Amino acid sequence: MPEAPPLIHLQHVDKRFDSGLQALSDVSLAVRPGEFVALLGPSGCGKSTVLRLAAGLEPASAGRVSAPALRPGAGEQTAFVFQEPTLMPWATVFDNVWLPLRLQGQGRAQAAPAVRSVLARVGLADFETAHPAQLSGGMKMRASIARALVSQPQVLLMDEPFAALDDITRQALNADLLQWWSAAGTMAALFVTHSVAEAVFLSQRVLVMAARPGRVVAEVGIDAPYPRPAGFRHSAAFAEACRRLGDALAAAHDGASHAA
Amino acid sequence: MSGALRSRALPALVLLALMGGWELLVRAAHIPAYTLPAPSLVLLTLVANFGSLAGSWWVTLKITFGALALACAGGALIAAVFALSPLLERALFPVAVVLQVTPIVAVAPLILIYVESTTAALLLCAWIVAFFPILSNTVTGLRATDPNLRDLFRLYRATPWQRLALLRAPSALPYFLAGLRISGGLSLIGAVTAEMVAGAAGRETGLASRILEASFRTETPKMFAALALLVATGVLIFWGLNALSRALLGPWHASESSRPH
Repeated sequence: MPEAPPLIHLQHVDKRFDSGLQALSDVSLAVRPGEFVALLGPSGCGKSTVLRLAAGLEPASAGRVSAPALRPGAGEQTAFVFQEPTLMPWATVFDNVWLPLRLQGQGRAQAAPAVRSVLARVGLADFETAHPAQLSGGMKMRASIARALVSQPQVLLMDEPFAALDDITRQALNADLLQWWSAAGTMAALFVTHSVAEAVFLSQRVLVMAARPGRVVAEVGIDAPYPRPAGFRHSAAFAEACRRLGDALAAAHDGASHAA
Repeated sequence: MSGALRSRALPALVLLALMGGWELLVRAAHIPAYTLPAPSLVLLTLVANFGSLAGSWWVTLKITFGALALACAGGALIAAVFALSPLLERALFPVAVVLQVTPIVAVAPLILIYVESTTAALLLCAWIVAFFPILSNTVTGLRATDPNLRDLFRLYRATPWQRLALLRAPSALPYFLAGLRISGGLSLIGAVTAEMVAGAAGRETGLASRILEASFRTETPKMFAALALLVATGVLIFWGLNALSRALLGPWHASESSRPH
């Protein structure tokens, strides 16, 4: 079976900020429809910059970037989940989740079925009229993901979305996220994290990045099939994948410190 | 004592105690009414003269609320223009600052010369005093949007109008309301100051000119009666704007949160 063309495609991309900081150097990566790819690395290695390039929020300094967000047309094909829930504090949960459809010109009544269905999926059906200040951290993040999913995007970009949550909430959201992603069919996910365990639990492929300048130094495949139950965390396959990924990270770090 | 009762009863008690002390002092020390009238006499004077004072009160109210409404509209509108065009902001903000820092008592005589209608001149004076806090707060608020939300609106290709209506205006609302609360008090001060400068001339005179008039005749109790109406106006404006702020921000903004800070 021929492979589908990549949705997100970075070819030899450099990114230099106005300050002169070289954020990315010769980064190439491809994410295909229906894939779940993790970007793993220490802080300051340019993981978030890769996401911002793929979302069209920053231009590349050199190289080629192709992604749905960079093509003309409607803006609902790419969704972005930030580390903070980034909800509008003045708006109810319903209005926050309605936003992507509203910006595409959908009225409240027209958008309501989609908004209600995604709220039910993330477990916030009873919180339509609540304001973000009334929600817990985990619920705010659920609302944020509901907003990302409501427009049925082709690409879901996530920038350490669970880094600020406690471990119990984080594991529950990891399991739920996999369900939402597999239910979304061919939606591709690119997930930035600095947690080895999170990268292994969620993704099919992990791209390991190193800093100064940011670059991809290794690619590790996670062979375990989906669906991955919570028990996957305690399996031998999980431990083995974590060990391989940890080795790759350590090797990348050694290489980086030798170069420095 | 419950919290709500305490928060209302305590200030009321303090106020009553102050009034009582004042009354006792005036009676015990036999202070003549033309020097310091007792609160009871002020109240009696107010009731006796209410017919004529009410007309003047109405004039001052019109100027004050007219200026506040214009300050709201003008301040918010100019802030929106500044937000959409940084060039215009750089060009015009100094003018706004000059208007703000010039003492109104000093410019009011000029305005009264240039503007034929006294009412319009008074409105203009009060507006100059009142509009700046709204303008400067709203400008700050329109800029204080969450950068991630800004990115999100860009990602979803929001139009400039959608960005203003759905993101920047709601972000600016708490700032606008904080400015409005300051401007509420200032519009009364501006109105009274301008009336003081305009003097007792003309048929339609506000409370300030009644205070001047009473002072020329050493009718001190009447001065206090007019002053009491001004104070009541200021307090009502403060309460009203606080209630508005609570109604608009209550469900979501930290400044109206019921949790202790």
